[in-house]
Amino acid sequence: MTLAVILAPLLALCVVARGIGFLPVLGVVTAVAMLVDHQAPLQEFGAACVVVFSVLPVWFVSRYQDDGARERSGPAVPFLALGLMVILQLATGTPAATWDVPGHAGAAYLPAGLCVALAGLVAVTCRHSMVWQWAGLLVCVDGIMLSGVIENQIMVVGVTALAGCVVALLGGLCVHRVMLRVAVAPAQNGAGADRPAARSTGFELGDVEPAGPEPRRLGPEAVVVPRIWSEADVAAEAEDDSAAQSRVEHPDTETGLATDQASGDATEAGEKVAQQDSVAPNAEAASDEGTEPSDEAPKPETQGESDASIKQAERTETESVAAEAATDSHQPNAETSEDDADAQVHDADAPEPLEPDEDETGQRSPEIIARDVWLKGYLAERGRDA
Amino acid sequence: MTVPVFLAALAFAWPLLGAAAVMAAPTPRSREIAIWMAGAGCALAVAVFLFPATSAAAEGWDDDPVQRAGRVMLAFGLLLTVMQNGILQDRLLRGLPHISTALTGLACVTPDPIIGLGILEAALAYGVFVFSRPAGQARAGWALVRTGSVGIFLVLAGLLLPAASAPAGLMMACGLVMLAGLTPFGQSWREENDTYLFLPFAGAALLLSMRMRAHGGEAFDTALVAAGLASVWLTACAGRSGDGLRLFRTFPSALALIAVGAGADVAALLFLCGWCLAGGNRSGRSWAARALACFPPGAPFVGCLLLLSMLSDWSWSVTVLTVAGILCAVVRSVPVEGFTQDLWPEDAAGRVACSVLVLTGFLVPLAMMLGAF
Repeated sequence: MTLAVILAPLLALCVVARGIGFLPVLGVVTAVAMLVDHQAPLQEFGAACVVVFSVLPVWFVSRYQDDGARERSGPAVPFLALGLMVILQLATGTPAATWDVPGHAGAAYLPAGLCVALAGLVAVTCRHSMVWQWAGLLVCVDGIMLSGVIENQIMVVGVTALAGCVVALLGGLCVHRVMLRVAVAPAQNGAGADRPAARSTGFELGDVEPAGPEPRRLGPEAVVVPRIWSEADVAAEAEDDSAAQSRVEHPDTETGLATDQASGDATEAGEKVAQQDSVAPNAEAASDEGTEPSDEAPKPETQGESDASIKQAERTETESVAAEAATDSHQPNAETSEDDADAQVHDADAPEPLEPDEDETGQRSPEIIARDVWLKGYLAERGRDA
Repeated sequence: MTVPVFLAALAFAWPLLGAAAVMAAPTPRSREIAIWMAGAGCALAVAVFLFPATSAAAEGWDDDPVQRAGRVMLAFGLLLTVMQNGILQDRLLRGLPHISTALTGLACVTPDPIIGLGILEAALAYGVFVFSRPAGQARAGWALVRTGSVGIFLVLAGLLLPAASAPAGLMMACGLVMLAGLTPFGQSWREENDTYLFLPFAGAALLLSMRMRAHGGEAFDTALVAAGLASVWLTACAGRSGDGLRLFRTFPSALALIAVGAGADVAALLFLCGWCLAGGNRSGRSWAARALACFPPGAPFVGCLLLLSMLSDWSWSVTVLTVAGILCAVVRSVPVEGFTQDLWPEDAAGRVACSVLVLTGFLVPLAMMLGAF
């Protein structure tokens, strides 16, 4: 028994307690535990599989935003895993339990692989977040692989490798379809994207009418580009208070939003960001509730509605990007309003912005055209699971 | 190569050929081709049952007559599935029942049950890939992968523990219960399409559980009986509500797991026949509800008699609990609408299913008396 064998269940408990972040460490430790005694082809194959199944999914998930906000399980889950591990140890690892078993006669040993697998099963069963469940299944793969290698069971190692491939591929597909991508920060704002708030903001919600007729759902009309922190955002936050005051004093400013934006009023953009920040938590919760039924049992009518809303949202996006182009053409120094408009939400019920001018559309910069194309693709991708 | 070996190999490859033919055929003719291919697969499975390849047993490939008869049931389940379906536009979905039946049949016959589990995982992966392609199905597909993989990992963990130990038996039983889709422990049945995959998948899990009895020991048997009894009594308690009907769909699976735990393999085979021909989304039909509720004549009724005769040797208290649970479930959970009507169904699929159920109910006890099992 090596230190790596003892560390593996502890790291599996860390995955149960904290999430997928500990999975690469668990994979490396499991691989070390396999290789430290023998270095036969079976051990090398098992170690390679474990490292691949532990590192690649974490790298893949890092490209998407965290969905930990949906986690509602309590803090007792790791203790449940620990209790099951102790029971398994008592049932199989004590000398009395293994006295009659050939190969283990009287020797105390730690069923480390099975303890790791138990921890993974607890994570799969008790955690609600999809990524956490995926991590639990991959922990199971690590544990069964470790146990199979220690017991020298070639068939078990092979079947576990196949199961690991299935879990990794199908889980990755599901992650790709249900989670939001982390936006790629522009080169000039690369440092700003590292701010913690850039990750914690799931997605931005925009101009929701305070007395709207019905709560919004997590549809494509509610989702736009994840927020990117930039210098413009910081400037907009600094203007937050004054913008809120101006909104109270001039409540009908929003009806002429697009017109004002076209005239290059940077204060107006700051006001929009402030409104997003105040509305986002409630609307995010409502959209979370709205997501689950559509995932559980999608209805054809709902699909039809969402398709219509996708088209409407795409049209609105196109128009708003055209409006931004108009802003750029009217005021070359209006970088602030452009960056803020990136993060804003274009509500389907929002006032109609300016009609795109054909001459000005032709003057759009390549970056804006590329962003427009990316937005369309992103909305189509989100619409598949709406 | 002798003729029985060739027949056995052809019987395994035939559903794959059927899938290729169905997927390649033009859509209007696909249903007809699927029925012909599935019918030929049934004939091949019966031929393999009647003329077993005796040399295969020496090479490690399983040649148990119950397993062979179980593969006949899987083949008839495929025939019923394609007969019930209309013309499907999606090529992958059209070929899915054939591929899942081929893979699950192969999983049941492998020399090592561990390899069978791997093949089941592959069948699950393919089925989930086909199911979850439409928009909005990603999380449903993930739920299927999660539950099936947990079951397979549990069985693998049990197989890695020392044979006949209590933890090994419990882990294997829990995993097999999840793989067999026993409500409320197993898969969530969301769509009718799930039966394309899970009718053969659950049948293969039942057949594999018979082969794992040697490793599981007494704890394995007891856990299977306990899980089956729990499902039967939950069915009885749930009544005719939505949950009750969902539980009633897996009623033969619960009885089959009790039979496996009690060592009554032939009874489990008869319940498997009921599962493949009347289970899943067919349970809403009146003839299927009668078959599932162990009404005579039919394979589940004969299986019920066999099970009770074996259970009485195993444990009297469990026998009483099982009889009471079955009676309560039949009284409280069987759908009453049109239950006494439709004694002879009007559609071809229903007629084939009723005929096979009645024939199996008569022929299996006869084969037992002749020493075939």
